[in-house]
Amino acid sequence: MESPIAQPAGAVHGDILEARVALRYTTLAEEYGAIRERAAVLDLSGARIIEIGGADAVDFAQRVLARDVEYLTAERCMTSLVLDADGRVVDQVVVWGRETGMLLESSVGGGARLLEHLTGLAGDGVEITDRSAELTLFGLEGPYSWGVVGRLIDGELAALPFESVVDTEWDGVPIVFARTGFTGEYGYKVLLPRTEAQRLWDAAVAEAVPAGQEALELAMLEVRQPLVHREAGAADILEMGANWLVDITKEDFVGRDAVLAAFAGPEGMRTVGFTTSADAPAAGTPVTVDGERIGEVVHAVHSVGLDAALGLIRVPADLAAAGLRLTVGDAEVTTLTSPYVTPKSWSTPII
Amino acid sequence: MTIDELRATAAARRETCARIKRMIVSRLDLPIEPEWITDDQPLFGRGLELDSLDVLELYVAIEAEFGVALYDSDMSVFGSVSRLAGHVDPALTLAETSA
Amino acid sequence: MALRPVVITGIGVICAAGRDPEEFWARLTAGESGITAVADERFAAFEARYAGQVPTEWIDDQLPDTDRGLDRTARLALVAARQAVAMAGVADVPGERFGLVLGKCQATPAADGGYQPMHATGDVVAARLGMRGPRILVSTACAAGGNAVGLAKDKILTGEADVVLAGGVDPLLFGTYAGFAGLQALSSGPCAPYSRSDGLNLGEGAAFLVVEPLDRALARGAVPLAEVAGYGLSADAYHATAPDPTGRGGVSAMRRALADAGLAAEDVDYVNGHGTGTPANDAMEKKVMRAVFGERAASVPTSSIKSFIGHTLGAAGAVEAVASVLALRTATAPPTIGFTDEAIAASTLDFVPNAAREMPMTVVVSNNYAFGGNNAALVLRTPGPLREHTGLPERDVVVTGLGPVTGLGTGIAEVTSAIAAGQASAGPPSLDGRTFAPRSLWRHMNNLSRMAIAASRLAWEDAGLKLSRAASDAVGVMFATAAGSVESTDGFDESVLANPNKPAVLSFSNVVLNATGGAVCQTLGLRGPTTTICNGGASASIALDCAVETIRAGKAEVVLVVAADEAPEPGGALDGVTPYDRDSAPAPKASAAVALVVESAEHAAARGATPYARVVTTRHAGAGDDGERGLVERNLSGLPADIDLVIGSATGARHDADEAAAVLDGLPSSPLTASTGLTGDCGSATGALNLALAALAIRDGVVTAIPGLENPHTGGVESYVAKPVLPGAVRRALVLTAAPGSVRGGVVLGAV
Repeated sequence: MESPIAQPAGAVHGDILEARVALRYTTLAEEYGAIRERAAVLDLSGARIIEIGGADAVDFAQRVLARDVEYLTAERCMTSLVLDADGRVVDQVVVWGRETGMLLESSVGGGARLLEHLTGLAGDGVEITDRSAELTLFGLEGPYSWGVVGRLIDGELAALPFESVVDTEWDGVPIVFARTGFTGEYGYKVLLPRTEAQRLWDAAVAEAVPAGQEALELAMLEVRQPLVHREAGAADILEMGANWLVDITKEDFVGRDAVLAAFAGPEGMRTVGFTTSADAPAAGTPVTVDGERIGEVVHAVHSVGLDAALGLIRVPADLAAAGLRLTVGDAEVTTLTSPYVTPKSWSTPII
Repeated sequence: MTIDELRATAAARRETCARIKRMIVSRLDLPIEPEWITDDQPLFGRGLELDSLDVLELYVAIEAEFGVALYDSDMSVFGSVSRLAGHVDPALTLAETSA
Repeated sequence: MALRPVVITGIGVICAAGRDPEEFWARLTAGESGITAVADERFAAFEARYAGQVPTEWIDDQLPDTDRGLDRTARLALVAARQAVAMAGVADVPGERFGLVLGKCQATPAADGGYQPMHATGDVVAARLGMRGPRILVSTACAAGGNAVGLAKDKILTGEADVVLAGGVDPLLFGTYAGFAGLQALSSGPCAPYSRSDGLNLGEGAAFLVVEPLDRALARGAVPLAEVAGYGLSADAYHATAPDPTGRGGVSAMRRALADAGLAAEDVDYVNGHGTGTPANDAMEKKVMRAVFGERAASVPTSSIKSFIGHTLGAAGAVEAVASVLALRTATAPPTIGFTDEAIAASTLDFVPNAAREMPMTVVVSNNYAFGGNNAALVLRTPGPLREHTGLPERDVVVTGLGPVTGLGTGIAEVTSAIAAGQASAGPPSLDGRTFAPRSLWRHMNNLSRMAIAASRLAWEDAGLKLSRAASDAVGVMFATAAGSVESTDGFDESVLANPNKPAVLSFSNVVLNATGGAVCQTLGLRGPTTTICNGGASASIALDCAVETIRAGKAEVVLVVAADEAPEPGGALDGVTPYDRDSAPAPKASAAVALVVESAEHAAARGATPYARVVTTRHAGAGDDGERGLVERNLSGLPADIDLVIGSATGARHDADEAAAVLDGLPSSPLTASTGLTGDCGSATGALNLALAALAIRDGVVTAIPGLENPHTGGVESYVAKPVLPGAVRRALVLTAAPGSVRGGVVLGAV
């Protein structure tokens, strides 16, 4: 997956699974600052847009999604995990309701695996179509991103209820607009034809600061929005702490039995956030108490907001709590309550 | 801290979190087991999908259950069950930081 | 060509700003608030202690001795009703041609500590003023008063009445006050709509408007005060108490009202806003103004009467309609008081701050936005000369979907089997086995709303409807209930008794009678015209009437009619309940919800639907001094006589005899049956169930019987349907609904 946007000079790129993405355009501090203090525009073209269609589209979606979409209308979207039969995460998706069928937005870089999984499960009456060649996705996030939406597209859209979807247009271009995001700040997404992406991007960067995946992933970590490519792997959803993206009361979906069995079984490992004044430890770094290994680091980075390292560790359930002092590698760490950084949007009204 | 001290500290927090989860499930009539709620998941919007009416109910429930009046606090107290636990149970030592 | 012009010829009002229209207008134009600190000690429990109270002397000084023993709600209503009738000079309208549409939000406490039926206030006013025509109790929360004026116009246009008194009333009640305080919606001082916007004050009052055709008014030498040019209704489909922040519901109601009036936004001179003073409402209204008026928004004055009298709930829309009439008459916009200089400087719209303003005025829009997301907009204009007009278009309206949720079964298939087998209900309705709504919404719903949502979903599926998002936005919902949610009302009342500062807010949001209607709109995503009817057992036929009128007027192509009521306790046994039998026990109350999909015949045909039946005609009569039998007879007169099946409202209680006597006399060859022996008395849902059963009889030949009928009050057993089978096809069926002593309805359904 390559971005349709001409990449500015100086941007640092990297790969997230199948997607080649801009990790940073300028500096992490500036881009993170835009997300948390003002408004940032995000190039989400690394996400695949997969259409579920056909007569049995809703039944199929119900089967493959861990949350309930039976009554998802064309004006709503929602976030759900897609699990395999063992209850492991295939991907986290945003489901966009449509008049008929629905669109699944994969995580950045996770689309190929998702597409394979869906195609493998689809029977007659279900059509899985990868629309990524024609459609692409941008995001706008930040405590003042609603102002950008007003200046860029339409002031009325800024006040849309959370997870609402509207078919509208920008400068004569049909777009699908949603109020949804990743970072706990006000967030919006625009699905638009790939051919128009550069034009909208150019207009957006005049109003908001482009933020790369590094800043985005940091902001996501700070509010415990799962980063599938870093946190999933062999872990089950209970170990990840991603229960809330699974509707355990839904009668039937792929992976349900495995999840229920895990829930009924003995409590295994769990995830908790931590901070340290030392450098961010690498994934896999052991967590020890009195020299004894009890777990490991899932993922850690330097948090601009905390001005310290911030990460997730996986430890036994009876030690997965905030307010503990543990040792990670050689450094002392303290476990935290979530959110690790409080989004400014929570105290900023939309006017 | 020794591992036993850590376990004890963790247990105190987990117990308060469990009480909060039971209160939320019972007060808001949620169709899930309290333990299904994780300590760190969002409570608003995505997550438990609580809305403004639910929060008003919870203020009352928290005061009844924990004797703590949170009415004028800002929304971040509801950031997660674990965050709420720190506000309703003064015995918990918090190592939380917010920007 | 336009429809028959309908005008207002009399107004009456009593509220904190005045005991009659003259005083009211004088205080408004002088900028003098009627909001005062509440002296009643019970209210000391709250931090917020300002309200728009009416001094009791103002009420009783305007009532004859005989009325002073009535409850406060009835007294407030009578004062304003008589003022309006006196001003209009319509005391001599023949009773059957004189209708009443009353808006009321709160249930009226009864002497025994319970509640009166919602329609009791309307019955008291109708009895005192001699109204025996159509009678509707509309309860769309804070929009009820404005909604009432629109419905009154409809009753004139259908020709059912020559004069209709439309209005609203609500007193200040402690429990409601506690509920709003619990929602943190009250301001701790006098409210300041559109300026400080830190909360609302509650108020009390009543207002009425006499509505009649322009041609009739002029012919009798009356002075038309204003024309009811049009009205519009919409549903937010967003949340039980918070308004849709985008304001699209409010925008929709205004645009529909202007379209109904044949006017455009640029014709509007002044907007009388809803203006409660809460931050959510005030912000939303500003958006609505900008969306409707565009660049012109800042030059369209808009003000809030609630800044003077607080939020009078069911009366608000009517009080504000009266203010709008006076604004037109005097070419003066009343102010919004409470503005500081800073607030004036900071305003981006013209709220007519503090001082009334003379201005040319021909068209006024009055807006009301209610809990449950119900929005109403009323367009009033200065009266013009007589003009050519047409009647309401005759459009065929059909029933295409049935969704019963009853003890007999959930869904039309189960109910059909039960009826055919002559089975009776085994217990309360079951909602197990499938989902009816997104889980996140379902969990907020009380039992009444869940039944209604399930019924609506089932009717929708039975109708085979597949509508686009845009088409669903135009689907109307007419909700009928006799008593609303007993569960939520009891739960709320108990919580207030235990501690008024800790009311059960989730219950409170469900106490308003229209909450379930709003829940249906929210869950199914329906944003069309919507209202809530609370006329006891006659509610469903009145709601069907509203649906038919809405479709005839071209305001919607598809309307859901949903009726729901719940039993206060688990239902009693049904053996011994045999409607029309002398030895019958009265049917115990039971819970049920029944929804019907009502559609224009064209819309149904275009999508290949197979309707159950078409609505041939409907008719309602209001109680007079001719007793229950007289009421039934008046209802039947004027209805077609070639009826193959009559499904009556009988409940095994004392009015069975009156109904049977009138029916056997007026329709001697039409077999008579009833359903409550099989289901119990399901309140408004019995009426809707009977409509569904009539439709079922016509299309599918399934007939409801009264097993065990041996000793009828009137006539022989052969005049009734004792077995679930009829000798011939049912081509026409008559359904009778009843709120005994109040209103009776008759609906004739016919084969398509």
